[in-house]
Amino acid sequence: MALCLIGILLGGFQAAAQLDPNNPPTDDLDYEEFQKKVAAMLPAQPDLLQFSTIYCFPFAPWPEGIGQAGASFEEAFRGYSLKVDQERILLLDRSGRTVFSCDGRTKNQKMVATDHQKGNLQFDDFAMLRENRLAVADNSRNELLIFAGNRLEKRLGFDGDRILFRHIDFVEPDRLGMNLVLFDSGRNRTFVFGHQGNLAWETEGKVEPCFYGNSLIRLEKGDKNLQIQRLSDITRTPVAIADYTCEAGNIILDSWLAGTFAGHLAVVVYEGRGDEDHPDYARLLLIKDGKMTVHRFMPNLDFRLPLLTPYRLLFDRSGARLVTARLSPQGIEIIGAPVSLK
Amino acid sequence: MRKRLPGIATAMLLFSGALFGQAADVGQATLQYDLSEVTSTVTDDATPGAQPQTVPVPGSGPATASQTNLIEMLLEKMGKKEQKIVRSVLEAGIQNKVINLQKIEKQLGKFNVPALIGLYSDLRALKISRLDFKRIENIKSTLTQIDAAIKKADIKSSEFGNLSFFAGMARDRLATVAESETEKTQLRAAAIENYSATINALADDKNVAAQEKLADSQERLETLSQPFGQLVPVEPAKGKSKAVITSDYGTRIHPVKKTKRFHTGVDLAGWKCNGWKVMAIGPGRVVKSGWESGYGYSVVVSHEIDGRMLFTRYAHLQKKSRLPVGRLVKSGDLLGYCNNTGVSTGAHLHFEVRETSASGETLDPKGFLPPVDNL
Repeated sequence: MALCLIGILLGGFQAAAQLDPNNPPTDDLDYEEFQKKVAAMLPAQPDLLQFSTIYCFPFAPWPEGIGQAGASFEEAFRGYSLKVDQERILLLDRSGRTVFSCDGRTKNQKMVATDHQKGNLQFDDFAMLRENRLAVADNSRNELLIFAGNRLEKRLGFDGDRILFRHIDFVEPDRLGMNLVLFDSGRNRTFVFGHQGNLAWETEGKVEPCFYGNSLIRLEKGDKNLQIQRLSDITRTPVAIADYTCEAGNIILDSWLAGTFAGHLAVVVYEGRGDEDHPDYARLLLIKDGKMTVHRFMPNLDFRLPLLTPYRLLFDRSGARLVTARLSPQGIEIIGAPVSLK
Repeated sequence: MRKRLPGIATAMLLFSGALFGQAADVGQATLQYDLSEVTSTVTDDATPGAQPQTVPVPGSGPATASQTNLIEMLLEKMGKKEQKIVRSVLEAGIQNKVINLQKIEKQLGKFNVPALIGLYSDLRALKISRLDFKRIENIKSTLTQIDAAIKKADIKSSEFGNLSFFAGMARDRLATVAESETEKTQLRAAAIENYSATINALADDKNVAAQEKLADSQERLETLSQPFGQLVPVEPAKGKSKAVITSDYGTRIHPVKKTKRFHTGVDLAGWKCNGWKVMAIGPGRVVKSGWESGYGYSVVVSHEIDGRMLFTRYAHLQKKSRLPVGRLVKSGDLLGYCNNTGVSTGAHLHFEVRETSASGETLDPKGFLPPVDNL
């Protein structure tokens, strides 16, 4: 009798300890539908930043377009690196080892640099520098390669004693292409190089891929607070320049520096509600002289498109725009929302 | 001021390319690019460099009429998979510069598909061995110099530590191309000795380069002495059910919309799995830890396994108790706890494996796990 009871109990437990095959816990979802669900969860907001399509880098055979791998999200899909340079939008197709550019105004697409056919390089990131120089971060050899003209000019990574890099996360030039900042996540270290590859200075920890004058910016995340710090090339000690506290009941999820212009800093913050991190609207913080303006917009939660810095500040004749990329069946769509910098 | 051993630094510089160059030789690298727009404000005095060599690879460049005809004729007769193989054969052959297009063309005329697959394997092996040949010779000769320098009686402790580190790296690299398991085991054992010697010699050295070598040695010691994979990354709480795969890796068709979708990893879950321990499947270093859009709170660990950089991602974790960036982990170390953060319909672990970078090409994670049942 007792054995019978145990048997029934065990059977009951086993049945209870099953997952529903028709409704399994998963992230294998339709992202557009999920995005709509998120939008439906959020309260109506009249003054959201409105994004519209600027350009679409099409999926097409090289060199007309970017690699097809992204179209069907195949194994070979290696993601992209999105940058802006003056009026141009630059997109590195890592799988295709090619950098494309698009003029935000004329919509003219160009191939800027490629190693598509020879396949010598692994393009992990790139930086355009002055005097016709191009820096390519190649993690297959833990090196930063500097090309002048289209010839290899310098290899940076080992100086006879020190192995500088373990895994380069990003490289980013300043506005004039005079310097570049490199962050190595393997060493958790930031390096600043001149355009000819001379090491100017280095510091512990991560910074944002952007120059603010000669300084760098670091974002210190707390639970409910984000501190924007300036890291000077002279003192190399972080100094707080602004503090942002998220809305009551929210927590900070993620943040990126989108860019700087004429003394303005543009920071994007994703925040959510409580520990369950239900997403709230994303915030764009515009900071100048200690004053902060906050704009809201719908966050993009799609994780199929890996972009290290998903938001960038683009300036062209039509003004400042916050740009980002999203996947579409035709290609990588660049969308932008006008931003007032008053 | 630190004393340098004559010739070693120069040798190291030569050796560096050999040691770290996993990809094709960069010495001959040229890029095809146009920076005229970027430098419009700068005097354009750069002399145009040599144009990149273009090789007639079918589907990606010009070819002569006869070559195109023959290749296309052959390709037409093949399936999609075989076409892919043929194109790879051509590309690999040309890049190797050991077999020219005419020779491949000649071989294509004779070979059937299974033979082509064989040729493809040979070419891949040939490509690796050709690239590695010079490097291996270079590493071996530098290693002999380093070993001789280490044995000198008057060597300083810091110099000994530095040289031991490079000896360890050299043996580590040679082990990845060792011809036999015995040789590999011997080289790795010797590398472990070198790394241990580095740690002892450089422990008190505050120099940045020395500290970096110390950290690298510790990481390599962990990696060389521990297994990678064959561990389910989620551990059920005591008395609860086992973990199963609730969504597999790969492409699937939406049942209604008929659209194609690619799932980059496997979803692992179990009954009431919220709060289950999530563990690293191998030794490595935490390179990302935070909120990543749809992944929710996630941890990414980098692993250097047999000369390959692999990145494992553990997603939808609880906000609290995640390991921070920079932390070294061993196989089975706790990374965080299973949860439902990000884009997710319930508590589960999304586990993925990528190559070359945290956003690199995905691999089927099941290849690194012990057998796990599907739901």
